[in-house]
Amino acid sequence: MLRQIIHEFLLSQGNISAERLADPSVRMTDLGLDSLGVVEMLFEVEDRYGIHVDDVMQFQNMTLNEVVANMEQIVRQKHGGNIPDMVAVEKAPG
Amino acid sequence: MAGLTGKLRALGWGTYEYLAMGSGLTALALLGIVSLPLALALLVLPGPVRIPLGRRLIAGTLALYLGFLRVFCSVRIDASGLRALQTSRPLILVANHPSLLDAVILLSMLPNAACVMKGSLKRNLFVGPMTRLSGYMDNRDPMLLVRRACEELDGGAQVVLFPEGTRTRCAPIGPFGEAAALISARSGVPVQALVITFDKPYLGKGWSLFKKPSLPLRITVRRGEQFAAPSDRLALTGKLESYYRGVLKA
Repeated sequence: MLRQIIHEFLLSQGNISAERLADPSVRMTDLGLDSLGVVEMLFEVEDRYGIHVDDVMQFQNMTLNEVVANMEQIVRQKHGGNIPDMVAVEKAPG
Repeated sequence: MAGLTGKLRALGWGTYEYLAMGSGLTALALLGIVSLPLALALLVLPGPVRIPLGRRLIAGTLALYLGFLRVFCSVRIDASGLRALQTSRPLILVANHPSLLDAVILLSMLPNAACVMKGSLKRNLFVGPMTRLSGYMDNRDPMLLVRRACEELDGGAQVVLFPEGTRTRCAPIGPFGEAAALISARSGVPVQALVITFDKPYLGKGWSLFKKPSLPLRITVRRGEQFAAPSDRLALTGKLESYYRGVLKA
């Protein structure tokens, strides 16, 4: 589910193809995602799982697989070792 | 004879321009020296008291400085368009950045504004304590910046930022960063464009602090178009950039 959210976000960027995402070793920078693009992607996951990501910079040079693994770890920490199926939508103000 | 009079007048005016520049810088330095200990002392206050107080202190100090420039240095500033924003609802205020004086003018008139500034300024001996006092944000960590900006807007403040990220390198406008659009998309708050124009260049990118201005200097700040919160940050950033390109070329 988490991987799917990230994939959907990346595909919505318009310039990233599904074929590129099929390569788990592709890096965020290779996908042309700048720091604000990474921020937007992380917000997407934060909102769905009610988590809080602190160090955005670390994600920029990660591969797609590493990003998913790191996010899963953060989600598990927040939810007592589980990744909830039902997403907890927690939108920002406004 | 007329030629000699003209030369003497030009020499006199040139001398005045140097004096005006020197006295303007001195006034700024004195205000900085006076306000620095005050800023340091107020840093101990809790955020909810410190931040509004700090913003008012900055607005007052900068207004004094601009008053000096108006009276003694032949600097004519028309920023009347900002008055309506002093009591307006939260907005993301973006502006082009032709000079160091831009932020001075905006912050002097917007005492409820949270400004986004370069991270290096927070470490500056004089500017750092004032910016910490006022809870201004820096652009080093983009996620923290977007979060903080959304909190400021949610708390009723206006967020001021210069999407070029630095003073304009190449006229009429440099490439825009996407932070304003992302903050707008995330907070749902519209983006209000402010258009700053100088009739002569002064304190722009590469302009030495000690290079004299050509006076009188006329500066205008006017409210431009307002852009609704987007669903696509890239699209809004493109719109903003072409809007500025259009109005500044006209």
